[in-house]
Amino acid sequence: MEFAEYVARQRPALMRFATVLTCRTWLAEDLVSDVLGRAFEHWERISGMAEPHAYVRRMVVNEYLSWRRRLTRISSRADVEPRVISDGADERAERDAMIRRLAGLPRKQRAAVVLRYYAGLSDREIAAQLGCREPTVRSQIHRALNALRIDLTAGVADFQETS
Amino acid sequence: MSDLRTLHDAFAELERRADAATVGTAPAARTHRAVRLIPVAVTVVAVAVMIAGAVWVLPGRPGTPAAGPPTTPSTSTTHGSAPTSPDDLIARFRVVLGDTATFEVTSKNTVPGAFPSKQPGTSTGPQPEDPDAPSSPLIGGTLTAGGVTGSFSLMIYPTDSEPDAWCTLSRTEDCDVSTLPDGSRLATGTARPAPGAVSHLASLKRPDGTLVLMHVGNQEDPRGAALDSPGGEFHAPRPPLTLDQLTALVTSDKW
Repeated sequence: MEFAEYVARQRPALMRFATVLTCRTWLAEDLVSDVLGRAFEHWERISGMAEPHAYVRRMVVNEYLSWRRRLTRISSRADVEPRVISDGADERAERDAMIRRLAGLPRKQRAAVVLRYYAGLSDREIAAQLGCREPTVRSQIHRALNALRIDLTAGVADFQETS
Repeated sequence: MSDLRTLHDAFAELERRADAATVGTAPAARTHRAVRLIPVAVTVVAVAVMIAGAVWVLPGRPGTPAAGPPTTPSTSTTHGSAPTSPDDLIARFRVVLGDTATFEVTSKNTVPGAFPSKQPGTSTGPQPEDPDAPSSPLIGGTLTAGGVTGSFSLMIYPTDSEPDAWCTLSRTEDCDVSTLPDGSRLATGTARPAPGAVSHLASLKRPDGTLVLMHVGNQEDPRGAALDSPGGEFHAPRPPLTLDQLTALVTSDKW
């Protein structure tokens, strides 16, 4: 696949993934642009892989996790984008509160939660992406769910864990 | 307490914001334009590189080995016109480099004329190529000096952007910006994107509007990369040139 074709097909999906990961659209744009620039430089190698998109998505996670210094520097301004809540919009209020809690998670916990519940990866796959052991993944997710105030027993059947 | 449905609602809302930002209609996206880490003009350059098309590999001819390079910026005002092809850029680089180092070109790219950005902030997606705009050469490869081998990338192109825009894009921590006697604007700095990774940057905006941009690094990717990503392999503990040596090259009057 040519790089331009890949970008045309997958950039929207990468933007969604990066936005879920960062909780900030402007940061997601930077993240995706940066990663695609690097992917272009190595496209000959990446395009020969079995799953180029999975690899590029892993690059997004790695880049996100490596942005500690930059994110720390801007943390005072990098609050979650404010949204106007309509009167009586309880569901939206709950959803936006969830986004705020998600944005407040430590990066590895957030990455683990996003990879599990957004990307649908198994513990083993998440461990490979984050460069840690499976028990660590389970621990990160457990802590994250506590911080997000999510009660798994309150969920419906179609949202059960996948692994 | 919430349940997983709320989490998925949150994901869906973030997806919606991502889609809206992609088409430039999200009010929330505009809220943070002023603090974007990467200036849009620079992103346009990066996107132009992305859509550049063919990349072909061709070994360059190494130069001759080396005595010590100059270590202070040149103040000369004489510059040739911007190179129009990778081979042209390679020939000029060989002259500028002299006996400072040897190099091997492993990638030669011609970036279509998608810049300069005349309307920064108006687009975040791939830019249409302007068939009438000049193309710009971009070369990369390995460079050896003083027994140390590392990577380099070099590009000369016309742009509206300031040279320090690349400090942000390259994650340079201590970007030093100055104005040379001929009016050129110089930005230099060092990025350490991963443990042990060092990438020097020198970016010179010349009075004629062309920008000379060069990175040298100790990894396969001269701009530095995450250790387990493409380009993250180490060549050496440090880059083959010091920041002063790199600055001297970029500000040379031999281009």
